[in-house]
Amino acid sequence: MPALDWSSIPGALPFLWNGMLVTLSITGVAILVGIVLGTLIATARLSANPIPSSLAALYVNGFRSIPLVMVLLWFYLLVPQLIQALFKNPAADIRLVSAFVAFSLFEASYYAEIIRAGIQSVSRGQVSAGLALGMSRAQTMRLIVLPQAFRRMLPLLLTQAIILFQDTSLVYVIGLSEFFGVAYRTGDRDGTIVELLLFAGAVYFVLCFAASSLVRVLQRKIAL
Amino acid sequence: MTPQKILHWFWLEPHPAQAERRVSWPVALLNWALAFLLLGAVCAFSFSQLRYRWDWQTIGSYQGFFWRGWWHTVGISLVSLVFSLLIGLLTALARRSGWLVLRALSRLYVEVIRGTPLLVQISFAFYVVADAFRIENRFVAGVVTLSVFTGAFVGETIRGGIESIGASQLDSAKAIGLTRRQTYLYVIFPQAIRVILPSLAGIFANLIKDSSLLSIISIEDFTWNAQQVAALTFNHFECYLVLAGGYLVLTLPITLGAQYLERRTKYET
Repeated sequence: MPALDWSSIPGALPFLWNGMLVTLSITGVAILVGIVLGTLIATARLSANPIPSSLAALYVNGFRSIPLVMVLLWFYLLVPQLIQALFKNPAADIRLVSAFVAFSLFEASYYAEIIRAGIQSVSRGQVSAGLALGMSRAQTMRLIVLPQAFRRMLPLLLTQAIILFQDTSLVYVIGLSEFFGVAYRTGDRDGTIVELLLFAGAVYFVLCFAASSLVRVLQRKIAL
Repeated sequence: MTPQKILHWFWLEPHPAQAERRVSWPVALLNWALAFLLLGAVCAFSFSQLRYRWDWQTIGSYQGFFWRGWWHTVGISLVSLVFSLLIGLLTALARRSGWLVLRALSRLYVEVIRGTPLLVQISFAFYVVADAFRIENRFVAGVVTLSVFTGAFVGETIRGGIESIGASQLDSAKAIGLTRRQTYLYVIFPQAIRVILPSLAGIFANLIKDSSLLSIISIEDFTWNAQQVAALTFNHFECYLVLAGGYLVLTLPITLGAQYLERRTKYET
């Protein structure tokens, strides 16, 4: 095995940084939209009304049953054309918008399941107590159940965020240059694919390991 | 009815039991039909906006291609499942072994696998490991990578299951004179399997979906074949619809089965 040649990495650092920014922006948007949409879907799923409940179940099971790569391919086909059809003006970077939409909707289904489990983990006595105090069901949900549920599921939500951060590498299928894509292409160009793969893997590992250690600390801190 | 009330009725009305209500099957069927109808309406509207011309004829002539890819995906997933179960079991046992080296090794393995994207692992395995060991066959390389990746998650699940067994159980086993092996066989595993099985089903569903990533090293799985047909015929929508259907057929029963197992094995504490 020839000696490793790290010389192509310093020159590529600005590009790698730009890629990392794309990765982080996708992660951020998907977390935000995913949690908001996920909460709505989770409450719909637990609703006493069977129509939103089965719609939410359909959404969650559907998205959780198909590979993310495929979701990305789908939205890359759909989003640009829909934007064109609906707004008549093409957006700046259609690939990034497609990735935002695809990741947000996909993650929402995963967050919905976590949030549903969190809501269900709050004991029934709490709901009964809320109702006994004369709160409406919605108030009980908003003021009593959800705060406790979110506290309980925070570690899981963060773990899902870490998984999401890793999954953003899949946007290679729509040709978007995020961190892994840049690393791979740099390695391909300079014939140093092994070094770049090692470097990318190390960066992902350090970030994810640090994050998951933080989650562990947090878990001990906020345990009810 | 105020808009606010409607919103609450739709979204924020938790069922008193806080669990999915058991509805009679005609009601359930009706609701699912309605849900599908709504979904279909949204899709139909989207496609009518696109003015897309469907062409299933061309795709039909590539039927064999899709079938072969689908079977490859099934085969890769099944073989990887067996190997990942083995790896997972060994990892979980190593994590609890008396030797520090083994414990550290299994911890390192799990952290590295969970800390890096599967995509990086697949590329690394293909460009570095397979090259070094002269593995020419892409399928072997793919199955090995997928098994090693999934094995870490299986290992953590099994470990979680084992650790969910109370200390008093272990003490009792020791008190009645069971050996370590006997304790695992007759006390720990029978109880742990209840915790492990639902998660394991979920992991298997993930494994099937993750196998789609093997298409980047040109393993001819379902995704790769569908992409090839799409590139050949330009019928992207049709190809991806077939692709979605193929994966749904595989994973949906598993996902639903996992949910069923979860309900069955849950008990009030």
